[in-house]
Amino acid sequence: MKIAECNASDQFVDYMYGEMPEDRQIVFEDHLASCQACTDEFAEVANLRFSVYEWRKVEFDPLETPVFAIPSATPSLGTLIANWARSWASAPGYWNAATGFAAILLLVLAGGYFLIYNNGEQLAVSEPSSEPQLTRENATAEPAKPSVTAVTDRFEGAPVTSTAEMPVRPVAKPPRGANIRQSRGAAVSINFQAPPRLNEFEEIQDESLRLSDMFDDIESE
Amino acid sequence: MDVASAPRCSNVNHHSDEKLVEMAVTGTPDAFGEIVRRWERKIFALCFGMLGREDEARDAAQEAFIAAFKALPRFRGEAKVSSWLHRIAVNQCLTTKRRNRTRSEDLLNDETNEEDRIFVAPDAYSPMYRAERGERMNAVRQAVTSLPVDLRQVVVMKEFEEMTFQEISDTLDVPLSTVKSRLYTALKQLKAKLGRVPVEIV
Repeated sequence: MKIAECNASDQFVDYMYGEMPEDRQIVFEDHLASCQACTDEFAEVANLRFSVYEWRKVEFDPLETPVFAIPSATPSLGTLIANWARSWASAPGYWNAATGFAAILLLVLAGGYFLIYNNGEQLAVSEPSSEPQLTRENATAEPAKPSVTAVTDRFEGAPVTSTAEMPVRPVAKPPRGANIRQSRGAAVSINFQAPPRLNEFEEIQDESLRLSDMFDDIESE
Repeated sequence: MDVASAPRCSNVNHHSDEKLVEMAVTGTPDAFGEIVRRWERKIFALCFGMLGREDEARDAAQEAFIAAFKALPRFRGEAKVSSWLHRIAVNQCLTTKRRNRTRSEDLLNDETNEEDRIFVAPDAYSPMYRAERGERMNAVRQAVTSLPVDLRQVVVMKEFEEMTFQEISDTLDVPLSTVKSRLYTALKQLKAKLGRVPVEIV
């Protein structure tokens, strides 16, 4: 029997790729078992199909699927926060508790540091008050209320006084190469432009007013 | 029966298939081994085409060659050896399929059982087998890449992307019968192209 007479060749691919309904499969298999021409033809087609299958398996299956990086717009801050909140919400409970506690602790520490730092600044530098100011010129007027004034070359016109009773360490004359400027939120900031040398102390002359100097002046008078 | 890794028999490899069957019936030790070496790949491909699974196809091919060895005294030479082997293999595959159909659905749907049935290729392939496979791969590559575009894209979609005929039909916007005829035509043209180069183990 010729293949054309059987008219089964158009069913080869259906059967070979497993896309034939089961009832038709049984009929086709019965025919295949009884028709030598179709069996030989099917064997040829199956052999060719296996060659392609083997080629794919040997040369292409070991290849890794490439990962394509899809460019996207830079997410906004709100998107980042929303993503972080979403991932935080989907995290396990113990992780949420730990991160929440860490965030609260961080906030407390930051707040405490901020408060302490601000108070220190207010102690160190304050606006001139209405109280009598104690400077080098009027240090002899009220010796009973000692207070320390930091005197520098540049800030003589704006006396810096301490409103508290605690003494403030006066600022020494800066070494050569240092640049003194008053910045916002800080009393005096020293920006070193050249590294200090070992013999730098010879050039430093401490001209600040010390407590002992005032008493020496009083005694001399 | 790992005949592919066995050394070739210099005294039997120049005989025809029918002569080898006669020699095997009369008791020549290497005659049937040479038949197996010549036809094992085609019989395995036939079983793979019928069963669709490498592990089942390998078992069925093994059983087919054992059945052929037992049936050697009954071979009368009325048909070609290839046809005789094809028929034995088809019968063995039909037996396997009937056995699979009678299995319970639970066994077929068991994922653990599916994993156990994944075919693991033997790692003791001989250098000769690797060389022959390399030549065969080159020939198939050239044959597939020289196909017309409309036939080649059906082969790629079916064999490489494992799409169904209906999916290919929808993708290419051609009738379902056209997809099947293109694939069949592509396989027939591959046969013609591969027939010009010695890709089979003869």
